[in-house]
Amino acid sequence: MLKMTGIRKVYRTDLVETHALDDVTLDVKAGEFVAVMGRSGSGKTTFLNVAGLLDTFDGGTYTLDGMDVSRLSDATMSRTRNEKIGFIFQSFNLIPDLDVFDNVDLPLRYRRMTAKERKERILSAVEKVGLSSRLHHLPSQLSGGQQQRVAIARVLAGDPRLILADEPTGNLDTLMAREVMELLLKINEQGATIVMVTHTPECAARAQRAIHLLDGRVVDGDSHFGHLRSVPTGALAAAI
Amino acid sequence: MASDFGPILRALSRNKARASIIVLEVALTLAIVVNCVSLIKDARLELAKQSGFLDEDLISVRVRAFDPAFNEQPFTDSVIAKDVEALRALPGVAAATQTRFRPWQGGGSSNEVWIAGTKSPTFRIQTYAADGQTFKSLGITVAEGRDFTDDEAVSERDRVRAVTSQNRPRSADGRATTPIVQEIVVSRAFAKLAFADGVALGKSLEDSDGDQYAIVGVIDRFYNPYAWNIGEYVMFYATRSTGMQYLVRAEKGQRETLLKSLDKALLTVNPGRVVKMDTIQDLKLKNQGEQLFVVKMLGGVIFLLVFVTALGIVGITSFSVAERTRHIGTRRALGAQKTDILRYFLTENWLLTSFGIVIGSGLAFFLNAALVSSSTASRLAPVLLLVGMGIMWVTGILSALAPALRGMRIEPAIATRNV
Repeated sequence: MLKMTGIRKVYRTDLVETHALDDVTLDVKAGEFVAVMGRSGSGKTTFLNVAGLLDTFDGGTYTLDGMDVSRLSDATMSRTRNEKIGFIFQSFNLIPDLDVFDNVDLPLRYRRMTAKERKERILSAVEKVGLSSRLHHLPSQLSGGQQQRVAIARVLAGDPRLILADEPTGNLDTLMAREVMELLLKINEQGATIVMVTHTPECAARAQRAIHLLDGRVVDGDSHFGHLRSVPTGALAAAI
Repeated sequence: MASDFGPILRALSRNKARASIIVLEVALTLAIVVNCVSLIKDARLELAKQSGFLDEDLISVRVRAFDPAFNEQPFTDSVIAKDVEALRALPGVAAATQTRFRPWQGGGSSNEVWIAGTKSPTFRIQTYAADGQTFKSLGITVAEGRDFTDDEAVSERDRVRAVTSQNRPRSADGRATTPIVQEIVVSRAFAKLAFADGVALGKSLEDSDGDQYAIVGVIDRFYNPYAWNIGEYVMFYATRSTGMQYLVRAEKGQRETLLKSLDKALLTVNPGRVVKMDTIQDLKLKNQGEQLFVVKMLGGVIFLLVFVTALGIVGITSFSVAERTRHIGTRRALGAQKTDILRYFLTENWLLTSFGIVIGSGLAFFLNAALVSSSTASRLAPVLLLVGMGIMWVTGILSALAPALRGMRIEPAIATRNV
């Protein structure tokens, strides 16, 4: 589903050159639930941006769902994001002026779907996250957990091949975080591929495997949560 | 992409303050601008009006006496007669007349009259004295009926003076029991205004004193700007007035030469006076100066208003783009192409501008109605409003373009930034 080989991303200023991703190689199979871990500044967000085609990269190859996405035009990247990738953000990233219906509708509109098809998908997705009664509520009228569920409904409505989640429980209390994780697991069980950036071991433990980033490099590309906990010292421990 | 109108309208309804500012700005600008343009159009029409006289050859002469001998009217009358003779005898003078009428002075004498035998409608009309060379001096001819003569002017002066020098007996309604009947020449525009068939010759007018005016002549063209809309309505009656005011028409190309010799000729008749001369073109420029100033000022107002409105839209849209940077990034992350973002802001702005235009159109007619009822402003031409609407639409779109283009360039990676 997601295959990166030797991916490099360098940020340059006049004085400094920062290797945000350095020779990242990763293979995520269809239907997998992978957690990406690492401490602040390790390159998690850059990895997510590159994986989600939100940003370009400077070297290496990246194949998404069998399609080489290494050198795409901005328009093709937008279309690919819209059709193949669903994003769940730490801050939910709902549009505050739009109600639940219109927020879930956003990616479908960019896909040029008919109003009828959009409506069917929206109602179905909102029902799956249990917010049918809040269809015309604004984000400000919802709790954090409900807002994240709207964001998940927005992903579900688009039916993407890959879901990228950026600290999806980072802004939620324990109970709500658990609800959201359960929802993600359920979605994964239904066949969706999920790559989740997190710094929370408890969340990472729910994934099938975890990879760890340190200074832009993958330091452990195939750890299950149990393995992670068994590494008490060194770079990996610091990364956690 | 599916129509953005629905979500944009719903989002705008939740952001009324920002939306209202643009809508109000556009509405007020449209209402004021189209009315300013309408006023400019009116003013330009006024400026383009021709008097129908040979303005470029005319000189107004006004004489003020300091010699006590002029306190006696018979003495003044004799000097006036000599003045007129002296002026007409000057080389380069085509015609000269004693009259208070000065084209383009922006006012003069007026009276309220009605058709004799009726009481309404009443007509406000300019009234001026004329002698045997008044129309010749103006460079016009009597199109129907007859002109006056100098002898007639003198005899009429004496006749009317004899009646009005004493208290006239009046009836209960205030009208003189022995009305004066004078013969007059009217303008064609007045003939059309007063008489349904446009035929004035042989008909009579009447004023509140009960005096009557028999129309003996019609001139085709007359225009003198006035404080209200009677610029084309005039009646001339034969008389010599009491003041030493003359109108001289120079032969072609002789005006400047005459300006050097006119005062000497008059002072030779009697040196106890001060002579002031103005060309009618100067009077016209002075008269139109105010209107030209108004035209320029209104033009400035239009430019400033449109400019400030455009700046306002740029500012509000820029603020809106900056405020929604993260939302734009989110939209881009969800699949919006750059053109979708551009279209979003332009559509939003177009909708707000359109609301403003709809409200502004109503305001424009409201403002125009107020102007029409309180001044000589003409009714707002729908085509003017259509042009104004077009200008506001273009202004709205162009003003929103730069901020929208900035919004379009916001990177999708902004969506993942948590600060």
